[in-house]
This record gives sequence, C-alpha cells and structure tokens, in this order.
Amino acid sequence: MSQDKSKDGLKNFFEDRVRAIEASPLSKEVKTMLIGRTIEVAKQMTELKEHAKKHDIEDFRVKHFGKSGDITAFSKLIGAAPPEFRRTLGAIVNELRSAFENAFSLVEKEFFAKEHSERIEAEKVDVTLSSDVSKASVGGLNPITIVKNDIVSVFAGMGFSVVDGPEIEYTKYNFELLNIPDDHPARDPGDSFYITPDIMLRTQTSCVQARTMETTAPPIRVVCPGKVYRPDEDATHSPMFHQIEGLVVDEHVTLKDLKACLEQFAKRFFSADTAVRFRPSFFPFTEPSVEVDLSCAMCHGKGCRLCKGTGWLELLGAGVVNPAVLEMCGIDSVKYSGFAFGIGLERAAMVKYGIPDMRLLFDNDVRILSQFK
Amino acid sequence: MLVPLKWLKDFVDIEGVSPEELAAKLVSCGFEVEEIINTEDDVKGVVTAKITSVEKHPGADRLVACKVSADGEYTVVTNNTWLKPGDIVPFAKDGAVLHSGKTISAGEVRGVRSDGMFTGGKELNLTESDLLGAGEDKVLVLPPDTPVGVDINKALELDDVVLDIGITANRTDANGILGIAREVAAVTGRELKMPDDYAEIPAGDEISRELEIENLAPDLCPRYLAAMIKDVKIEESPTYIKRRLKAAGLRPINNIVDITNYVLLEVGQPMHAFDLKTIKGGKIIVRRAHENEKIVALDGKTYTLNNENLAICNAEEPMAIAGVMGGAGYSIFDDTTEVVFESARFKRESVRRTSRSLGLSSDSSQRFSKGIDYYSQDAGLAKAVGMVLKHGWGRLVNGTIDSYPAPAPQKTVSFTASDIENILGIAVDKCDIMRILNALSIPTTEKSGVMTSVIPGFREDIVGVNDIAEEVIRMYGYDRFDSSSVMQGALIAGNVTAEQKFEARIQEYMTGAGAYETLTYSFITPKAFDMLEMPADDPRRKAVKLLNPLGEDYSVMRTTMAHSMLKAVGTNALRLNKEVRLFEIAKVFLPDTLPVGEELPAEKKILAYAAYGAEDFYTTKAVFEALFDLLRIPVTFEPEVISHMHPTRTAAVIADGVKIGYIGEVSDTVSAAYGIEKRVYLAEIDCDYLTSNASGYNGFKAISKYPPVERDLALVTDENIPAAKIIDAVRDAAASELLTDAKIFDVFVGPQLKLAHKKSVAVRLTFRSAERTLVDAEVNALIEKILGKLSETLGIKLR
Repeated sequence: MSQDKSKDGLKNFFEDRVRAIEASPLSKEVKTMLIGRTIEVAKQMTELKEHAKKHDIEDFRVKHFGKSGDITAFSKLIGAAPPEFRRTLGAIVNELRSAFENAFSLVEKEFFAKEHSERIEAEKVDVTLSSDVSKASVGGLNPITIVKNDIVSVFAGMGFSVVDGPEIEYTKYNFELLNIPDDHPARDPGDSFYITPDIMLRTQTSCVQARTMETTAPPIRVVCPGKVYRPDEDATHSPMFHQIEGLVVDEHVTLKDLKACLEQFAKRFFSADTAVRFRPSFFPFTEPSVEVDLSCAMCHGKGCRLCKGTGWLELLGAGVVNPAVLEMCGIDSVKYSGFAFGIGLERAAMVKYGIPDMRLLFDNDVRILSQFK
Repeated sequence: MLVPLKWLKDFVDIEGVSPEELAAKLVSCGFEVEEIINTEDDVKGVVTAKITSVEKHPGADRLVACKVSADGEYTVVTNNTWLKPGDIVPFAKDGAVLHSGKTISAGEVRGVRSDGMFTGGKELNLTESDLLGAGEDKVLVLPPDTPVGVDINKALELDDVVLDIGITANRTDANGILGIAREVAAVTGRELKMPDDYAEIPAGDEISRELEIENLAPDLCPRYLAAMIKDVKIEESPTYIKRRLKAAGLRPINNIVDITNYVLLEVGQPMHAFDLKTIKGGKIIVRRAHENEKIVALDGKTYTLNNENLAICNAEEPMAIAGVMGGAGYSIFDDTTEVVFESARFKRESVRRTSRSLGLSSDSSQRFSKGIDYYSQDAGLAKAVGMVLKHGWGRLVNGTIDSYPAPAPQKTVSFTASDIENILGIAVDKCDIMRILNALSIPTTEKSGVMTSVIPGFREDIVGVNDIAEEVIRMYGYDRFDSSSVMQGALIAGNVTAEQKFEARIQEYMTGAGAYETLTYSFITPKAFDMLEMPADDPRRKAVKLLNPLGEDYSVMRTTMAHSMLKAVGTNALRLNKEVRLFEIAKVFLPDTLPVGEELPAEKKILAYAAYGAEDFYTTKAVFEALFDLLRIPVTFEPEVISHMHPTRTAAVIADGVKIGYIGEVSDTVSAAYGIEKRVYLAEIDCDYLTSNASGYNGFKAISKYPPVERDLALVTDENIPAAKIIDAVRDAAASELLTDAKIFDVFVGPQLKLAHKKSVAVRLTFRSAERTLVDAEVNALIEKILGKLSETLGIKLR
C-alpha cells in the first residue's frame, strides 16, 4: 500500500512540476526541453525504484547528479537564458533540482531499507543449534572448593578471618595443645599418619586453632579451611579430606553464642528455614562438646532418604573451648572464653549436591566435575 | 556397646519406657544409639508344638506325617521318623522366617499336605550351650515343661531388645551395663539399684598367708587387686549367663571363666582368673617382661615378649600378658579348686602397645585400650566374688591383696550457678543443677550459693566447671536455648589476605579458561618418580615418607603435582572423555633433609594444569599468558628440559629472573606410562609466588586520543633466533615510547623460502603518540632505525 502511495506521490509530484513549467513565461522551446527531461528523469527514477540494484543507484546518481549530470546541467541553462527569464528560470530549475534530489534520496533510502531487511533475513541463524567447538570452554570448581567458598563467605560476613596452617604438623599442635594426652587412642597409628614420632599429617584443622591462639591476642574470630588426613577409606571416608575449623575467643563467649553463630551459618548456607539442634558429644578440646545437626536440606525436617528419615543431618562438631586448651595456648581462661566448631566439607558437599559416595569427589572425571559449575 | 534391655533391668526399672523412647533419651544425653535390635526379629513365626500322632507317609517310606497341636491343629511332613507323640518341637508355620532369612511355606509333600516344618537348633540360631540338642543336625526336641503354642522366642526367653550404643572416648565408664544403667536412671528419673550379687569382701589376712603381690611396674600397673576363692566347683554356667555372654559374642566356657567375661560386660572391668596352684612361689609379680621371655597364651600360640611388655608372673615365669591374654598353663582347668581373681588397672597405652606389637587382641585388651577407672577394680571384684557366692561355686577367702601405691585423690569441684551460666549462656536454676548431678551419682551439696560436687571414681572425665556445665546441660536439655539468640562479642572486621584473594582469582580464572578443578591425594606412590622418568639424583625424589601409609600407593608426600595431574588425565583418557582441561592448586612437600628431622618440611602451593584434546603448546601457553597478565606479573618463557616433558616443547616460566614453573607437552613415553595415547599438555607454576607477587590496580594511565599507525615488516631471520629475542631487539632498536606494541603475527619456514636455515617472520609494529598525530616521515625514520639495528645485531633483513 505504502509503496503504491509513494509511487503515486512521485507521479503527482512530477506532474505538479510539469504544470509549473507550462504555466511559466518561458519560451516554448525551453519549456519543451525542461518538461521532456523532467518526464524522462521521472520515468527513470520510477524504474530505478522498482528494479534497482546497488550499482544502478550509483549510476543514477552519477548520470543525473554528477558533475556532468543532466540535472546538474539544468543550472547551466540559467546563465544561457535571456536576462529577463533568468530569475524565473532560476527559481524553476532550483526547485526542480531540489525536488529531484529529494525524490532520489527517498528512493535511495527505500532501497537501502529493503536491502538491509533482505540481508537480515538471509543471515538468520538457528539459535537452538550449538557450535561444534568444544563445549568445555568453561570449566568449574570442585564441589569441595565451592562449598568451602560458600562457607567462608558466610563466616566472613560475621567478622571471621581466614587463616591457614601446615598440613604436615607437629603432634604438639595436633594433640598436646588440644588436650589430647599421650595415651589417647586418637594418637594410635591406626588413626593418624605419622612421619616421625613428633611429626604427622594433621588429622584435624583444629591444629590451626592452637597455632592461632599462640600468636594472636583475643578477640579472635577465625575460620581455617584445609586438608586433613586419617587412615580410613570407604564410601564415607577418604584418607585425605577437608575440614573447616572455626574459632572464637573473646570475653563472655558462651555455648549460647555458638548456637546463635551456627544458626546464622545454617540459614545462609542451606535455607532460611534451617534449624539447628545440639546433641551432647565429646571432643578433648571442647567442654561442653556438641554434635550439631541441621534440619535436612532436602526434606526440611520431614524425613527422607538423605537424612535416613530423621529429618536431621549430622554436619559438624562444636563446643566451648576447653579452658585447659586456652591456658596451654597462653590465653587467660578466667578472662576469656571461646567456642570452636569443625565442619566436614565432603559431608557438606555430599549433602548439598546429593553425592552418594565420597570417593566420587576424588574421581576427577570431567563428566562429574562439570556438574557443579 | 551392646546393651540388652533385660540385663539393664537388673539395675534400673524401665517398665513403661519403650525401647524407642529410651533410645531417644540416651541420644539426648550424649549416647548415640546406632541401632535398636529386636532379637525376636531374627526368627519369626516359629511356635512350640506338641506332637499328637506320628503316621507313616502313604507314599514315602522315609517320611512321616505328624499331627501337632500348637496354637491350632496342624499336620507336618518330616523325614525325622524318630519323633514320637508327646515330643515338643519348634514348628515353623506357613510364612515363618528362620535365622538364615529363609521363609517357610506350606505345601504338599508327595500328596500329603504339610502346614510347615519342624526346625532344629541351627535354624533358630541356637547352639548346644543354649539348649541340649540344639547343636545337632536334626529336629530339636524341647524340654517337656516347655509351654505349647507359644512363640519360640518367648518360650525360650530369647525375646529381648538390644541397644547398640556408641560411647564417646571420654565416657570410659559407660563401656559396661552398669555405666549405661547410671545414665538411664538419671535420664529417666528412676532409681539405680545395685543387684545383690556385688559381695563385700571381708577384711582379713587369710589370702595374704598364701599369696603375696610384688608390683615392680607401678607406672604401667597403677593398681593390682585380687581375691581368692577356695573349694571351687568348675561347672557349666546357668542359662542366663550363657545367653548374655553369647548375645555379646562371647563363648561360654565354664562358670569361673564366664564370670570374668560377665564382669567385663557388666562393670567394664577386664578380669583374669588364675588357678592358685600355678602361682609358683605363692607370689604374683607384676613386672616388665625380660627380653625374649616366652609365653604360650590361651590361644595356643607362643609369644616372645620384650622389655616393653608388662607381664603378670609367678615367682618363676610369666603367667599372663598383662591385660591382653592369660597363659595357657595358668588359667582355669576342669580340676581347679582354688581360684585367684585378678582385677587390675593397666595403663591403656601399655596394653595397646603390647597388643599391637604382639599382634594379639582380646576383649580385655580392647577394653583396657579405652581406659579403665579406679572404681572398676573394686566393683569388678565384688561382682565376680558375688556371683561365685550366689551360685555356691566356692568359698571366699577373707582379705584381698592390693597394690595401689598412689591412690587417686578424692576430687571435688566447687562452683556457683552463675559459673554455669557463664559457660552455657543460659541460666539453670540451682535446684535443677543439684537434682541433675545427684541423679548422675555425682553427690553435690550446696552452701550459701556455692555448690560442691564430689566426683565419683568412675567419672575420671570430670575435672572442672566446664565438665560440670556439660553434665548439667546434657540432662537439662540442649533444646532449652532459644533460637533467637544473637552472638555476643567485640566487633571485628573479617579479613581476607591479598594471597587468599589472588588464589581465589586464579581459581576463577582457570575455570573461565575452560579448566575443571580436580581433587587429588597429597600422598602418592614412590613409583611416580620412575613413571616421570626422573634421574636417580633428581631432588624431586626426596619425598617425605609416611611411617604407616595405607599402602604403597599412598606412601610418600608429593614433591610434584605432575603425577597427580597425569593420573587424573589418565582416568579421563581411559574413560574416553574427548577433551579435558584440568587444574588444581595444592601443596607439594619439600623436606630440607631426609629422613625428616625436627623441622617441618616446607609446603609450597602449586598451580597445576593438564589438558588434552583441542590443545597444543600455544593454547596452553595462551592460558597462562592471560593469567600472568591478569595478575600483572611480567614473565618470559625459555626453552627448558625436564625429565617428564617433551624436550623441545617445554618452556620454563621466568619472573624477575626466577624460574617459577614450566609449561609444555608431556613426553610421549611418560604419557604412555599413565595410559594416555594423546598428547598431554602440563604446567606447574609456583602459586605462592603468584599470590604474593600479583598486584591489583596499578594506578590510572591516560589514554592517547591520537590514532595509531600500524606497519607490518616481513623479516628474514636465522631460524634459531627465538621470537622473544626478535621482539626484544625491535624494542631495543626503536628505543622510543612511540612504539607502543610489537608482535609477531606469522612465522614461516619451508623450501618456498628458498633460504636454508632461515625463517620468515612477520612483525606488526604499532606507533602512537600521546601528544599528536604521527606523520609518515617520523614513523619511516623509526622503521629505518629499527631495520638498521636488526641487521647489525642479529643479521635480520627485510624479505
């Protein structure tokens, strides 16, 4: 429709021009020449509009508007005309030229718009098709690292700093300073890897607790993630695994604060409706000691396969720092108290991602690794 | 710890408390109940039946059809043709489940209907010690007074519920029925009653006239207590004792030996019984064994002792390996008439070491290894003697022999209610505190607000107020904390160090570069060094060894990540994963000296990378060039030869004149050793260097608003001149800050060049001024200068 209309517009436009020339006082000869040219150009322009290719547009521009173009040549008529007609002729020719220019510019625009839309259509891609170039172009972190990062960021938000310690450790830090005496069964070679009688692979990140307390004055608020080692290997044990230890030492720290802190953690790490339950337990370096259960992340406490129907997941151990440990590490246990907790990262990852066997975390098959990014 | 509820009922009335409720209560006060075992679940649907008639099977000589009366009238076809009317037998009805798990169904046996089957003892998990005839491979005929038509579990009193309870390491006292009973009494609010078979041993010197004790190793044996029984009758134990031992997995032997085991289970005190006549010289000597002293233990094997093993000896030789096992020649015999009961405390570490070094473990050694308190020697002996007297198995001699050189002092702990509140964060009423502690058999009194607890001998774990607070809260209830509590304490800003921040950034970058993060063990096999073709004197062979590894594959701490990464690559290659890019940041362990002395070995974090698939040297290098750019660490690459790497496709990465790692292609023979047929690219970079030398924002630099001028030069160079050297030379030659970039975009070597030992190198130079638009003349002059110098220094010409 619009095309027809503009075509009619072009026709009407030139008819108007022709009538204006006829009505002018110019000589018949000049009139005939102008009208003849006008009709000729108008005809060509109409043709151009309908069948143009890109080079036709350029050719047309050169032929009619170029230095020796015929429309440009109209202007030369003015100088050649008798003086009394110059003004009239000048007006007519200028009007005619700018009319042609406008008309051409419309044709040109229309042409390019059409060409653009044809090109867009021709360039269409199937957005559902994928490239055959490697899909592995984005990798991913190991679930243990992801879980560690998530946990660290929750505690960082609560003012905890991240500290680190050696993986090959003195028994002093792994045992003595944590109130695990010489004859304690945990020291048995069946439960720890030894390098010398006094040097071992740490069995718990709690060593970093002792190291931190030895070198830092309260208030202390730290988490220490890292690898730990124990001689077990089955579906739920790996001889190397990961823990994240937390330690707070300050004035007036109580078991209640521990619960508040771990509740915050649970709500942010899993979901806002996660509840925390304490059960009494035992660790030599905390007294009282508790096992901390979180309401099941999968069934929200209703009972499912993951939580074995109990509605609770056992995820960490914690307690009030044993005053004997504070004293051994050089902290006044009358003035200061503290709490500590340890989270098994493998367990946390297995719960969070529903991974059935701990050994899969160490399998390193990209088909497994690619599931966690 | 297996706790049969029938046994528990000897101490505390749990009538009206279901096993599930009891389990829940135990969990709430710190005793994990791992399983509630209903012993009746083992055998179901078997009832006692009385045979009313036995008729020949019409179609088979070897079968009979018995009519029986149980909870109804039934017919059973059996091949036990010897059965006779009046016999009472176990009858497995249609649907019955036997110990083996087998389900019985009724059916026809050669045309005669059989409603089930008779069973022997084995099908019911009974042995000869449970019931006469139960061990035989035929139908079990029950005693004539057995009630008929009753479930077999009830009829034989096999019905019980057993709680499998996990005991935490601090509660050594709870490794016995008595200890659990104390907790049950406290948590259910019921009374703990001691059974009447805990005898008091009258004072006197009758025992010491015949027997003396010499304790030469009080450090390993802080207490040795013994009593003597005369006129002993050795016989089989009554059913209840045998059943209880069997339920705990112990084999009944005779009354005296069974007593020692019974006491172990009930009190938690390992006991030993000697025949008095084997105690030569009338003297028990507790001493360290002599080197190479030998003893034949009760298991019939000969053990060679050493000076670290504690032995219980008579005047001449060892009679027992203390706390581990008695000697075969000194125990209880069928003709024994005089028994000495030993109830001692041996150091747990000593027992454990001896048990381990001899490779000999027993219920006694396992119990000692957990730790024994001083209360148990008296309680254990009282129970053992009491059982003898109760059953009339002998006469108690008055007096005990007792070596207890350093008696444990009576401990008390004093505290106030607010002390408890300061630990727990919640206020517990004084009356509740007192009630809880007294119910736990921790006598506690109060005077003007200060409470004093007298710590009983069986609670060696309680040393201070924190322990008291724990006793209080575990009984008061951990659910008493309101959940809206907030954390108290000083305001501290959490801190992430620059190193931690950069490490996280490296990890994120590596994933963006398409790599997946692996998780590999820190310990590797020592064979790795051969697989990596390391020379014999390679320093990376100096690895920390574990004294007690979980096998050779995990026996040394890695000094390189190469093995771990190639193993991970190998896993993927074996499973035909097409393309793999892996990375890991983990520690290697680099000891100064071997074997490890007093210093901890150095630990260094390594960023490791391995890939195969659409990879080559340059894609691998590109990954790291971008990383170093990200961390703003300028590096250079130089050819490097490393044992496990391709000799001409490996580069050292050099930062500030120091080698910080390598990247390149793995040598094909090494790849093959890991089962990989593809070309593998590997990198190891010192991650500690990266995180401590990385820099973030470097300060703002204005950008030029004038256009750059680019010029490409086609150069012909000696084929051995490395690219980096050409670029360096170009930069040196220009010596102008107008040259903002110079890079090689094409290298061509080949016969078409028609120049031997030369290569064609296309270099793109970018010139730009911060102050003006450059004109051709300026750029041309610089190019002339560059070409002149290149020709002069490296003999490089324009092509």
